[in-house]
Amino acid sequence: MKGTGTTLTRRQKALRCGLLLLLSLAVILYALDFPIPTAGLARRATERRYCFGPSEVLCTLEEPLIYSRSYAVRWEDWYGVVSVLRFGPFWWDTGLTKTVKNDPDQPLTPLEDSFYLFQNDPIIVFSSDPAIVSVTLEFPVRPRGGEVQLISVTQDQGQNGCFSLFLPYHDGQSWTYSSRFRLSGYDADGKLVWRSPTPTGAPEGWDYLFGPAALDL
Amino acid sequence: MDGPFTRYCAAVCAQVRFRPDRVSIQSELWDHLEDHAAALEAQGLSREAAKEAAVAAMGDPEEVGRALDALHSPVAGWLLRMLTWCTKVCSIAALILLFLSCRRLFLHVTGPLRSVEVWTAATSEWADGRVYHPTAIYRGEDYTYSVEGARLAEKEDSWTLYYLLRVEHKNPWLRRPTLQYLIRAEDDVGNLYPCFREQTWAGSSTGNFMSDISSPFVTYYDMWVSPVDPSATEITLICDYYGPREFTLTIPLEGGALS
Repeated sequence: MKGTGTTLTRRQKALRCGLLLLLSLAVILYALDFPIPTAGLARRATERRYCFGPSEVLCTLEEPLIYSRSYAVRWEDWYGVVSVLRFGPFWWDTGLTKTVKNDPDQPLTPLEDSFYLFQNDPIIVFSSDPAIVSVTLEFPVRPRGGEVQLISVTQDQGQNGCFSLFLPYHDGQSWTYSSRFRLSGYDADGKLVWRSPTPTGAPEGWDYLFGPAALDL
Repeated sequence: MDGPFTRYCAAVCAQVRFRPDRVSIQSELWDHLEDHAAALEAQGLSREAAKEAAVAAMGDPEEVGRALDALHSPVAGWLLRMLTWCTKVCSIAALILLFLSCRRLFLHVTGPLRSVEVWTAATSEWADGRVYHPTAIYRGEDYTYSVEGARLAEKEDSWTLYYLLRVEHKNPWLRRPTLQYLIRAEDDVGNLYPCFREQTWAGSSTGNFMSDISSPFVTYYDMWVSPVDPSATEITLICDYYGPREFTLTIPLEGGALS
């Protein structure tokens, strides 16, 4: 009968340890402010916080500057970029959701909601035309003491109709007004499929400097 | 020390594979043998004879040892040891983290109360307003929405409806939903107040988080709608920027207490 007593003690010990372990884990989770274990869950929570989704991931962007990881996503008539943050070595935190409504009349939809575009701040362009395999973004810059120039960036490695373009650094002028860039989509043979209208109203005068006449388009 | 108890206990414990339990088994057996021997001594047996008789009464040591081995299986024993160590490590970590984050935890508790106090204090500075306490609650899939208080005040020749929006969320990962820019409003006389994302100069519906520190389970927003048509008797808040309706809440503007 002593043996039975020992077994019960062991079970009681296990029960006591288990309860204490659960309590400790609950306290740790609370003290760590409820960290999120995976990037996928953090993405879903980020979307939900913005009343967006559940979305379909088109591609993952691993090189954003501010956030640890970003996902280019689609949900119904909307495209979006959902960014999440690493939190310590094991955890993730929710971040930011930027969205843009898909315009069925234009095959390329850029996601840009900031006033300025910065160097190495990726511009995500969504394509709804499967024929488009390469996207070019053109924008004006004015180097210090120099003439306004047209800079172009091309991305021909799209994923699920999602293109990520980084603005290059250019003589101290790595930014432009976000409304002043122009997008072009090309097919596999290099033929122009679609081009966004030439921006208007820019101080540098897109039309004058880079319009069809100036660029001989 | 090489008496019959020692030999018997050693023979029993040799059968138990989980070595860490041998000490406690030996102690238990020893106590049992001592009790039995003392009882026999009380009946008139000599000390040595009582010991031998107590050992003999316990039975075959190998058989007893095998029975105890079955009760003290090594797998369960090591699992219990691991569980014990994990519990110790986690308990220490929990205590340290609790100590380090006690300020934030305090703010988690007091933050929501402070938000209500701050909003009430800020809005009560405006004279000539009307105060409302809407009772409508909207229970969504992840969030529960309600308006804690509302105040219609005249500022710069136009009427603005200020309200304190409360959003509860059971899942702390969903705290601070960024919906202050997504809430539009409409009144019962046909005026529309677009959300911040669709803002026009004609009217707007927007706001801010109440504070930088929010509870994991509740978030407050200091929101406003302006300019409110004075003939409106109710204003309905709607969040449907992406299509599906997230919530809708109505604030009645009739009655209300004068501030």
